[in-house]
Amino acid sequence: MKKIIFEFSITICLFIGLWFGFSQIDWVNIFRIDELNAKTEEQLGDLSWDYFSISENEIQENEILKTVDSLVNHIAIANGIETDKIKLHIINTDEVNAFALPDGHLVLNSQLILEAKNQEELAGVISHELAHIELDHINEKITQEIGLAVLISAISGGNNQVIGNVVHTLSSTAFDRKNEEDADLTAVIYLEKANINPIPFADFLNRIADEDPNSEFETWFSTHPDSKERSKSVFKKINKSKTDYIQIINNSTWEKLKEQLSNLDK
Amino acid sequence: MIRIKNLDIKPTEHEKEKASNSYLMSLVGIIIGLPIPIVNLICTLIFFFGNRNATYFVKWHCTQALISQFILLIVNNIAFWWTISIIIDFNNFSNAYFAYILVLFIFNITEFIMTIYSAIETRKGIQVEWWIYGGLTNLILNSKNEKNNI
Repeated sequence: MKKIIFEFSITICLFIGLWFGFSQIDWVNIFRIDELNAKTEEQLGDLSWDYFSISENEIQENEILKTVDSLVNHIAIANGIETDKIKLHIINTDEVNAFALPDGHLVLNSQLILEAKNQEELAGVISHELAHIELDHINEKITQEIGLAVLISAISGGNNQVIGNVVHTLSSTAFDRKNEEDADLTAVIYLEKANINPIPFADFLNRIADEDPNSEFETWFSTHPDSKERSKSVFKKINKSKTDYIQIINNSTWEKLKEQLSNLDK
Repeated sequence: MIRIKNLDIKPTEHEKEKASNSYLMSLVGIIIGLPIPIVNLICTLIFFFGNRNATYFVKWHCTQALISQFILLIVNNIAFWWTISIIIDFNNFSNAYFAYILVLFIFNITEFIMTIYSAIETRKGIQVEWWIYGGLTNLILNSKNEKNNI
């Protein structure tokens, strides 16, 4: 019996030793795993956006895009997020919603910007979506709901039905509770690092929770449930001693943005 | 890794063939069963139960082959389900995973060569006892008071 235990221990030690030793080699880099995934994600992002944009009215006005982009870029730069990675799209619609598609496509509805009382509220929603992108919730969600094999076959074969499912999943359904909470709390960190006051973001979630679910907020409620509770946890996370907040867009530019958006034909 | 033991008895041709076949069964199972790491165990298990009433020499080698496949099943299953979880989860390839697969490959290749060697030697009537498995086989069969003429 002693002999068996001895032989067994030697084998286990050898196995673990070899495993540990080989783990020190950077296989992920050698096999270019990140690159492969990035390429798949890029293709999926392009296909999803192409599919979605056909039926939607994307705003092309430079001034509107530039104003919102300045907010996105400020938050991204302050948090070390590559600005080239984020592709901002603003959709002219009277539904309140914001969501992210694979490969950094950030979609904001014009009505959401109009509902925001100030730029900090909008910055909060942008930070929340950036957090979903950075925390890899997008890939996680679609692979869980649709499956990697189906996704890869859809990318290579251009299966529109699957791409449609990807877009529907990301634009009309919520992430799980933990991911939503993670994105909220990360958004607070992003805002604080960017010196943007996060309190209006908590206010926005709280205010929107009281809206009629059968109004223009319907899709917002389906993608961002439990706003009341989330508002409370966002508020708890905020660093109350921090006061050196700044405004990224001046008030006149913010008002002009809203005016331009409200003048667009829906 | 492998010890050769002298036998007190001389196995018959029929016994040598059956004992050798117990290793060949696991090899066939590996070839058919990849990448699902259970077919080799099932093949060896069927052969083991088919030879429950065989002579001690045959039973000894069936048991050693079965134990080897059972341990292989455990380590291969970890890799199998780890791979499945990666396929579902998209982005979880890690250095630890690749290292495990490499160690497993070495482990499987070693066992594959040992199995072929054992099948050849057993066919000649030579008693081959593997590292760990040989001791375990002796322990299992001796505890059942079946030790008689090896």
